[in-house]
Amino acid sequence: MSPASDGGLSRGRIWQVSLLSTLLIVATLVAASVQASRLFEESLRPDLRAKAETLAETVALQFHRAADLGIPVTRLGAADAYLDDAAAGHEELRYIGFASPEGRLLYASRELKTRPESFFDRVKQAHGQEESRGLARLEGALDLAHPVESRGRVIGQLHLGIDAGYVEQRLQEIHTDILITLFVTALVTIEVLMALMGLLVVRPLRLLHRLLALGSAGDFTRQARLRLHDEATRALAAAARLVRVLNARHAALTERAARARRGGRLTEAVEQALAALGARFRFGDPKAPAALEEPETGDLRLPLFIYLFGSELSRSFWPLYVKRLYQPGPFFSESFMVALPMSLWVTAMVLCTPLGGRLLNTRGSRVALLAGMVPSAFGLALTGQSSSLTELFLWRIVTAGGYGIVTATALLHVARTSKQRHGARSMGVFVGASTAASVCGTAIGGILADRIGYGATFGVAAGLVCLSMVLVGLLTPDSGPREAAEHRPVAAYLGILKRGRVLLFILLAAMPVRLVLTGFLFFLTPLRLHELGFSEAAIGRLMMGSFIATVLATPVVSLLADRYGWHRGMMLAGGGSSGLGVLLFASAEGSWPLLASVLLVGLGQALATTPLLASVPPLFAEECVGFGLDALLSVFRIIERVGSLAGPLLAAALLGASGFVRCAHAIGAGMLVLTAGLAAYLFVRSLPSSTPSPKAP
Amino acid sequence: MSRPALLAALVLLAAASASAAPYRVFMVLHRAGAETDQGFKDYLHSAGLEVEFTVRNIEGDASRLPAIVQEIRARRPDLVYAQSTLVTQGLVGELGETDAPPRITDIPVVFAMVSDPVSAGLVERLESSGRNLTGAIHVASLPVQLKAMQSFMPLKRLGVAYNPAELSQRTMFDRLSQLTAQAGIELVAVDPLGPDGKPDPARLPTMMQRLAARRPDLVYLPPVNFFAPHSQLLMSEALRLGLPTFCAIEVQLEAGGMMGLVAPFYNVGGLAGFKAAQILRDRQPPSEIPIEALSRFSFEVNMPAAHALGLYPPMHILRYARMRER
Repeated sequence: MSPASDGGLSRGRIWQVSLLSTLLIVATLVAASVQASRLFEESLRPDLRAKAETLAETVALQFHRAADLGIPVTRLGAADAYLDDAAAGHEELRYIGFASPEGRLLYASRELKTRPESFFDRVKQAHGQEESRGLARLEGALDLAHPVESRGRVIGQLHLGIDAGYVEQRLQEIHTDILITLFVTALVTIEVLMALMGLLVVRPLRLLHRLLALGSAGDFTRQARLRLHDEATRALAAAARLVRVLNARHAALTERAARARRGGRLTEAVEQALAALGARFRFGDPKAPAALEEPETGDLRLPLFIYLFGSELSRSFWPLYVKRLYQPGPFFSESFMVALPMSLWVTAMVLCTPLGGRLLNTRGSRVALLAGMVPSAFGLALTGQSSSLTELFLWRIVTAGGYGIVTATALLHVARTSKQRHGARSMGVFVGASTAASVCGTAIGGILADRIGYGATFGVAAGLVCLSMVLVGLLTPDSGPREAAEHRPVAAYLGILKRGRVLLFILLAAMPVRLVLTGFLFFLTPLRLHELGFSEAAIGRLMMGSFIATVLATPVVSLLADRYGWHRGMMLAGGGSSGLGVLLFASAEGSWPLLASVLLVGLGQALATTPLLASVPPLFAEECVGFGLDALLSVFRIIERVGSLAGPLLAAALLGASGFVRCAHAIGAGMLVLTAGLAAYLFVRSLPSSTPSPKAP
Repeated sequence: MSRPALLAALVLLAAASASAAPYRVFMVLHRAGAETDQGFKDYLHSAGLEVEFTVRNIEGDASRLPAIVQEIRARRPDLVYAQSTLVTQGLVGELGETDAPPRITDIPVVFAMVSDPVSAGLVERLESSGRNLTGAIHVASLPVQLKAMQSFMPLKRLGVAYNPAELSQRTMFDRLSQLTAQAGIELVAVDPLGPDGKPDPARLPTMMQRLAARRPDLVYLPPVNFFAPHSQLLMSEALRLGLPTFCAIEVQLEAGGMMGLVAPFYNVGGLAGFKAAQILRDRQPPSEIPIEALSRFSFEVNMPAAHALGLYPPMHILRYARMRER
């Protein structure tokens, strides 16, 4: 059994165990949530009544005062306007009215005045059979009656209409938040469980298996590095001890034989036996054994997930946060200044990308990751404390630099450890982790911002990045330094860029997808939704829909792309889906059409991105040989990120020039045109060789 | 001793000698007994200034002013306090006057009860008078007063009783005509002038009757010096005729006006005292001290008048207005 197939088997098992644990946790949480929302519901109604009573007391003050001054209650001026003012700003309140002691409605706020006179008769009737003192239920409203007295005499009665639907609406929002939290909890649990089980159980067992397999083949040269001490590792440790002792004894034997040989005391038979031993078994140096571990694609998944989770927390409210710090200036428009930090982000990230590759080569994965995570943590924490746009830009650049290093390291790690046959699926580890993080981050970030504010949410983000640092330090195996494939990256990059077909492919396939992601989804979507009156939490929910679509579609797309070789068709479908999504969003206003459009965009991202990364090596085999996969992927990422950089700026320019609807139309239509261009390009490329992608049996 | 140090010592010496002798302030009153004068004196005392006051009262008679000017020029006090527009005009003269009797031009003058120093021809700008004059305005600006009236009731026809014999009253009337025209309010004006062009106290009741005949929604009573001694008469006539009144100054309210946007006179005097202290103690030239009104005026309603007229303040005014219940 090869380690790979062994890994496949274990992965299935981990899935089952993780899923089961997650289901148990989610079931417990559901029970707790149901209980919590019931308690909430029970306390919300009395709270509303208490609030209405306090308001009634405040409103009554002026009626008291008027009566105390001897003003007849029927002669009050502008009392309707006074009640209008009092009702304004209380969204749960439908109306306020004031009735004489005889039950005649004297003054009423606007809403109550529009109702037929019979309504107030029904109010009086309802109070005849009221359910609790002073509170009566009518169609869609609860009427609270509050008597107003002056000098011991009742001068009238205030009526406050509490919107019954308000309670349901608040509860619905709370339920949605709970559902999202449950969903995110499930996702995070699966991520963490899978990573921990992989690291603590599967990995040591796989290493043990490999050690024994090598041993049974006579190879004792490799030794496991042990850092944890649990059950599975102990078994591995025992086997490792055995190998170490064997190696030590072999070394001692060789030493003794050498001494005997020098003394001429070594017999022919022993020489032959030693030669046979050497031919049958291979032993390692007990002082510096070769490593048993090989870096694996999944090594970085958990810290990467947590890191990206933290970085994505601000996704749903980022443009709104920037907008809040914007001060009108003479040179730049608001939409430009709001878009600028997004482009600065991409620039800083691109500039730091090569650093990630260099650190990975010279210092190993752990140092490379930490070198990116430390500035990110600082950057995020200080972004939340920024008091001006200049500060904000600075900290955003610092954060982005770290982000560039971390993602470049992770991506190169994935590219190196992935087996060619599973290209799309290995890339799926990266894409999956980053989109799962986007889903969790966007949704939870929106809820957090709604409840604890922007600054504190950035604090949480910095905390998550710190947690990812701890995970890198404690759990993740270090890849160790390795020889760099090439030493003149810039020359290689330029060489690749001179290849027109590579450039054209990137411009048609990779850049537009990124442009839609940053320009449309990250920049325009929150601004537009805010304009339409959505709260931060609601914006987070909607944007999360897009990422969920990506997350759910990614494994399916990976699998289909690898199995049936549908890389190209998937990319085209992705472009089309993104373009249509943006066009739909432009004209949508209600929640459901908006959700449908962002789902299309999210699906488009999954369809276009996953096969895209995997299709680079087969499409450009010649360049891979000439410049190396690392260099090709780096150039690919850099140019692709130019799309990310241009996205917000382009969207801001279009937004400033022609308003939201035309801007979205332009982006959507542009996406469709470029996708058509890509189809033509792929068709032309397929003409001369016309070799179909290899199909799996 | 270096030159700056010597200078500093001289300044200190001058300050010490100045604080040794009390300041001499010459007060010229239009009429005795205004709370403004007490507010002015009390402020200077509370600011720790030792002041010796000389008081002259013209009892509403402008012909007495030239003699007082002579006296001030002879005695050369540190500061002159002028109680009204008439007094201030008599002491310092109007801007750009030619062929004028002697005026006070080199002694600081602080006024306390001038409703509109620009209209009265005393200064060009309130920010700095450009002459030996500063002071405190006791009346809210006309647009603010008009807004206050409209917040009480929608206005279609506004009555005003004023004295065209006073220059400041003529400019006030022009401004009010402009403002009411802009707001689409008809303005009905009456005055107490006799055939000789002089105001006549005996004509006040008929003046009010003429106004009542035009049935205005509200009657505005500007700060007219001539009306001051006859406030009681004016207000009781208004009530008898069923006319609601809006007063510009506190005394009119106290005499029974129905409502007004007023500043307490005592506080206006305090503000004038503050400006006097800036001149005496801080050595600031009066030309550079801005002429100001109090930052807060209070909307007051006389409930007995409201009850008598059966006209009650709307709910929003109940929230912030001061109600006089006696």
